[in-house]
Amino acid sequence: MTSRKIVVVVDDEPGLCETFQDFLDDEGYDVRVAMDGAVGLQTLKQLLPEKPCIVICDVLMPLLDGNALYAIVKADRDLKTIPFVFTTSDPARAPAGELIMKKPVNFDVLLSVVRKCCA
Amino acid sequence: MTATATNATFVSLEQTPEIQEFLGRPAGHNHIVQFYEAEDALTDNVARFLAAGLEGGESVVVIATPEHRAGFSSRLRELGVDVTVQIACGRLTLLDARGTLAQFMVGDAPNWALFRDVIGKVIESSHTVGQQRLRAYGEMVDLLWRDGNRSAAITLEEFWNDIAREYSFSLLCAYVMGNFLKTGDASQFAHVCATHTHVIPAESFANLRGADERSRAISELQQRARSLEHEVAHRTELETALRESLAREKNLREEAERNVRFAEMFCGMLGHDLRNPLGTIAMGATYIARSNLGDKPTRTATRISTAAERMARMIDQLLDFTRIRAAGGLELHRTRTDLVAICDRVREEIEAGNPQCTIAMKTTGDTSGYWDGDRLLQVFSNLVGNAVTHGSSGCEVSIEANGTNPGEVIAYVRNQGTIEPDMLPVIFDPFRGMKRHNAKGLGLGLYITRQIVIAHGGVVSATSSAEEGTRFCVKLPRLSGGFPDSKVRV
Repeated sequence: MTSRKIVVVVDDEPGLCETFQDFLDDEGYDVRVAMDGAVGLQTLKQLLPEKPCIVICDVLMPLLDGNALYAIVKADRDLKTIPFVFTTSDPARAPAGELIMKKPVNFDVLLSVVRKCCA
Repeated sequence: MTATATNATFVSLEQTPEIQEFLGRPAGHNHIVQFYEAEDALTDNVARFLAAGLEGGESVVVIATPEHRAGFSSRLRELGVDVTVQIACGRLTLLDARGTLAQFMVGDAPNWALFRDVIGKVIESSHTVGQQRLRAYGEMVDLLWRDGNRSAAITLEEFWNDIAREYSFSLLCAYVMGNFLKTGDASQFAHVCATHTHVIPAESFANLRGADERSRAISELQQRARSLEHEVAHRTELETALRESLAREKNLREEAERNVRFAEMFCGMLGHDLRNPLGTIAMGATYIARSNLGDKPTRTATRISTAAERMARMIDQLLDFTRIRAAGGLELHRTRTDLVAICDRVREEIEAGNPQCTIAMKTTGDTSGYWDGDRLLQVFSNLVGNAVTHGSSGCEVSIEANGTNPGEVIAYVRNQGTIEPDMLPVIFDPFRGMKRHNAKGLGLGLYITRQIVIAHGGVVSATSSAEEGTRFCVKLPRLSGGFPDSKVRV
């Protein structure tokens, strides 16, 4: 059991996942990476009863996209409280009502969001 | 009941004794057709036919239009016939063609039983006057022909032939030649001739005198007919060639359009797929730049980051271009938006990136409307960015938003630079930047700007002169009055 707060990154771009991982690891977070929505869902369920303090989620992904993953999580009794931030090149495609960050993401803004959710 | 009078004899109606004699004493059951070109010729010929009958002691029936009945009566009087007396004693019967026709037409076709009843009574009534011989002139067939009901006209001609088997009378019909001008009229013209025992050609031929003159005219007509046949064949060939050429051109155009669409779609897909690795490059460079690895790595990372941002802008433009050209247009998300807030944000961002620049801002009236704020941000970022980039060295750029008009908001972006006169008419065309040697982008910025403004129902224009500098004007209808805050596909 780690004492570091867990952040889950779901994105199908490996380089981007690694950059998020390096950046947030430097900031003291335990980063778990998933390359599509299906693996992201599996990661969230495997973590139970522990929960990540935030999911940083891409929108357009193979197998299960960000919108579908978000809908499943919000319908799941055990997972629905996990906050999401969507990172996308096309903000119009992200679910309404959630925090959306346009790629390339501004690290300072992302960090402030992560810190707020993981406080 | 569909007997036709085949082997019709052609009779020339010149004012010659033999023609006058023919019309003066047509045999019973003669069914004559008179073609005519001018109304005067018809009036004269028919009046002579009627007058000869009355002079010969025959009863005469005229079934004609009111205008023709008046014309025949007038001409008969000139020929010495006392029309009033002839009508009074029942020897001259004048009937209305349209009214008579209505008595035996059922739908679009004449009915034999009704025809026999109506016309039979007219003939019997004329016979009871004591005359054994009867002649009639009728133009009901011509009316049907003029109405476009040609099959009914032919049927009616055949009905006349059928009723002529029961009653002895001679009949003169008339058709205007102008009704047989189309290519497909030839067979129907022949059919009309075939239903008559005698055919009188129109006056341009009938008025020819002597056999030699007629032979010459026939030769000329034969030559003209051959020439026209040849001309028609030639034109048909040309038409076929033209159709084939048009079909080839259409196929080539469609293929070219498919290729263009494919290329545009490909650009769109490529642009979309490039954004992910580009995002990795940009964020990786940012990560390095903020990792305090020393001046040189930091400067390099910043250069990579700047180049990646430029590349991202180009990809965004390419994707917008694809949306406009190949994906059915831009999608707008209208909400209540204040243009001044947008222009302020643009001003702050551009001033931050260009510290040497001060952008003046002037606002008048209510500058709000129902617009897509993100798209307008794109519009004014482009216009103000261009004004800074291409303006004078002093960076004198101004934005003015005028909201005094209740229907629209007008915004001006000015600088002191000039656009070359030959560039101004094509300034909003796509890829025009390719012509510039120092072009930094794809040359799509102003094209997309214009498309966004058009999508809002607005107009963007540019003027430029050495004296007054360059001014871009954007007119945006407010769409006030409860336009829903929803997606609008344009």
